[in-house]
Amino acid sequence: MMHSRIEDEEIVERYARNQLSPEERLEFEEHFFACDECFARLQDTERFIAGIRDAAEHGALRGDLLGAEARPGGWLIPAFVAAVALTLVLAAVTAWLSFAEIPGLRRQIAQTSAGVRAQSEANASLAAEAGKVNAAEANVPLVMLQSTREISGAAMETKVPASAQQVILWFELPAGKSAEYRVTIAGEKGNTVETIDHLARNSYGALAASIPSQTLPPGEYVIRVNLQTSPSTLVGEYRLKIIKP
Amino acid sequence: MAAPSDAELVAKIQGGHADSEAALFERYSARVYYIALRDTRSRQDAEDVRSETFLRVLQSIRGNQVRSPEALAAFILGTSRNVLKELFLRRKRAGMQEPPEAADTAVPSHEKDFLDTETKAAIAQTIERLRPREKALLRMHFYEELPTPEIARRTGIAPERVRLVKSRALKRFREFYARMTRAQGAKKIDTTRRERITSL
Repeated sequence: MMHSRIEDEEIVERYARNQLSPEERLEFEEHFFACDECFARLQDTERFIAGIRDAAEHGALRGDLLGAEARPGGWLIPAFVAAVALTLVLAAVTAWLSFAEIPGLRRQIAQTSAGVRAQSEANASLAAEAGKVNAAEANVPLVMLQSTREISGAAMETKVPASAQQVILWFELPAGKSAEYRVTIAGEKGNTVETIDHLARNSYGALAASIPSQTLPPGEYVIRVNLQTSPSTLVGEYRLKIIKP
Repeated sequence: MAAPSDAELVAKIQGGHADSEAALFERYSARVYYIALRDTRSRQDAEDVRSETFLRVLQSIRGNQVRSPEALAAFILGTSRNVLKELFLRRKRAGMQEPPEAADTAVPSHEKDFLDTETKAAIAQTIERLRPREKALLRMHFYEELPTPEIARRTGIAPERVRLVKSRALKRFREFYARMTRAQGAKKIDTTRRERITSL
């Protein structure tokens, strides 16, 4: 028996563990009987195996040593699988966010931004308007409307500057004892443009009210004054023509 | 000075040199005892087989019955096997014990004979230097006797590396063991027993 074969086929260990065929066993016995080196190796292998088995039996090679390091298949592979799964989940979530959720969110954000912008503009406009209202205004157009029952007459023309925010309407009323009046402003087609309630005579016995100039675009208007408590009672009727340069 | 060859030993024994008989015993005694111990699983039987073997061998040498002195090792082995066969044959006839070949010999019972103090200490030192999964590998291989692919699967060590781990551990063990036996002058199992040669 050649040493190379003994080495390659682990003959020494297999002999020690009774794993050789009867023919191999006899052949190896003939060899180590004449080979000091192989017999020494055989003796050492016997000691080694006996010692390892004894150690295993007494817990020196404990089973719980098969922990994380000893079982890459027990932790590394599941860890790898978990990492891959996590990566896939993250990729799926990212893709879902990119292709489904984010565009929707972007649309919502755009809509919200547009709404905010519109609201901001409206607020700014209102603030500007409020500022204008609160601010003193010069050259406010004052329309002195004479009380008359002749509606067929020519309309009273009034020029309202483009810069005017308000138009003041002054109604001269016939004598009366009513406490409150209602003013209704109608357009040329009879459509009500504005209604002002609870007007009371001032110290001149007249009614005065201001109305935003934008409420009265250029055109003719019929303005009626009725009793507040009895709206069907007409106190006065006026024709007004607004001209804006 | 180089040890005498088998042929020289035979010649000297035939020339009446008692020292050569002792040298012959020293050279082959452990092997005969080892084989006998493996087969009989009994120290006493192994001792008896060894004694009977060397008695017959020396008688053959003295009687010039060894045809090929160069093949003395094979002659001694053959004699040992004959003695063992006769032993088992006698026992079989007496209904005492069947030959070990027919018995379950998966786990050699002679292991305990190798478990001396030095072996245990050398094993402990060897194990101390192993990684956890190398320990597990040795346990699975030598104690649980799992097949290599299964060991590789459980430990995560490639099958071709299983053998490497084993041989590295064995090499380390041999170094520790040799160091201990040198330091303590411990006797190896069944080493020379010069005192017995006188009775042969």
